[in-house]
Amino acid sequence: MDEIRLKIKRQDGPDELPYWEEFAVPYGPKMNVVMCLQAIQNDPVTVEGLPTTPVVWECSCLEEVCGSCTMIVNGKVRQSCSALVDQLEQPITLEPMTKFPVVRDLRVDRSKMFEALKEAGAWVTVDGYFDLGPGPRMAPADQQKAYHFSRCMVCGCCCEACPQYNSRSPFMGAFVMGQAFMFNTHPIGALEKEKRLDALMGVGGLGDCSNAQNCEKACPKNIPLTEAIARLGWDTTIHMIRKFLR
Amino acid sequence: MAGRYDYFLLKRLQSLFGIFPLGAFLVVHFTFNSFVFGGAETFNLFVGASQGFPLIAFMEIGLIAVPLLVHTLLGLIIIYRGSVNLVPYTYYRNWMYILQRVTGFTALAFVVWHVWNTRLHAFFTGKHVTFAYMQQHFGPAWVKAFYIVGIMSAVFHLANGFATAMMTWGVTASKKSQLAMTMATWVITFFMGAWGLRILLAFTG
Ligand code: SF4
Ligand code: SF4
Ligand code: FES
Repeated sequence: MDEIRLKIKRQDGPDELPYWEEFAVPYGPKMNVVMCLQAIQNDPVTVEGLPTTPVVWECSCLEEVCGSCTMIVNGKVRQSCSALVDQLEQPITLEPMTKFPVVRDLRVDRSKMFEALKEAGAWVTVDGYFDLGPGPRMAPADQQKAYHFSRCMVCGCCCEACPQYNSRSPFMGAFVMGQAFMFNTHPIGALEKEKRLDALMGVGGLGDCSNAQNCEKACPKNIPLTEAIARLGWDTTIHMIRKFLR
Repeated sequence: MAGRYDYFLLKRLQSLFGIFPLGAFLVVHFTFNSFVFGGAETFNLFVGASQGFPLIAFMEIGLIAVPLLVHTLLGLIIIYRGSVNLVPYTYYRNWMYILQRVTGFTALAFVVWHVWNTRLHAFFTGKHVTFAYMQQHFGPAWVKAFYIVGIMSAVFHLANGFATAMMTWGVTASKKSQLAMTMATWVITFFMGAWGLRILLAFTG
């Protein structure tokens, strides 16, 4: 094998129609999909020998921690930097994620994920720059649990795989549930637990999940999303009853 | 703030109604129809007695028709908002997600038709359903087939719906408990399905 075949779904702009182009790049040992895309960028010529525009994609960390290089590789959503050519069937097909607006080629606009995090208040509020002293202690077991959720890189795999996440549905996505759950269990984050639960009980919140559990299977970081969803399902029920009673 | 919970409440209502009263009714329905195991006489006596029950209209409308309508309408909205995502992601729960929607549809079609033939029929003609009527009703092969599909759809829909409701309400959050509920889904589907088909068999002989 001295060359790598790729089929790439391209799109010139947000409102343009997509089309396919095939490329061949020289093979090297231990190559990943990002390296193939870099090779195409250096010499943007299709297999037919026709010059074309370089394929647009995003990447940053190159070690599967930033999530920016997420795309659909051979039909499944994953990070292209950790998609190794030797483990992929050829031609390798690359497509942009389908649940987010395409900016160009393989690059999508995931800002609605960030909006969802803001909506759910997925952060810890620290007010002011003065020294607040050491934070509250956290039990090692809780730290362990939180660590799993802290690895979320907002890549969008969970949204892409979720049948409930699409343009007809206001669903915010499973990652929000993971983050809200994590901050609810954080000693300082817990101070705003009720605010997060309120947000998750609104439009696009927990009610829109249908327990298909694709999210957890698709998550490259193996984040126990369905556990977070179920635990929040319990918390929101209690929250609703309490709000009603007192 | 109260208004904020409407959305959440509706979804939870959809989930709750599936189990109570609808799921509970299915069990009661099977139980009472098991009078047929006692023979034609016993069955006719039971139908006469239950239709003569003074509060029957309230129970049928309040505990069955209205919850079923709510469950169905909200269910259709959920189906509309979902999308099929099976080809690349053939996971067990994803299959169940699709099956839950398909069986919801078939069970609904069956229930509407079943109620028309066995309940509204009696309402319009003023005659109660009898063993003989049911036997005649089950005559054509396609009716039997439709009953088998309808019963199995309803039973699976209930069993799987019960398992997902446990997740929705946050009772089963761990992998272990969810796996236990998954197994329960199939045990319930199998036994309730066998029960339902046995009732059908008692009529068709
Ligand atoms: S939960 Fe997993 S799949 Fe979803 S955005 Fe975070 S890292 Fe990606
Ligand atoms: S459990 Fe299913 S419906 Fe819910 S977020 Fe995950 S993939 Fe989506
Ligand atoms: S480049 Fe950061 S995850 Fe691939």
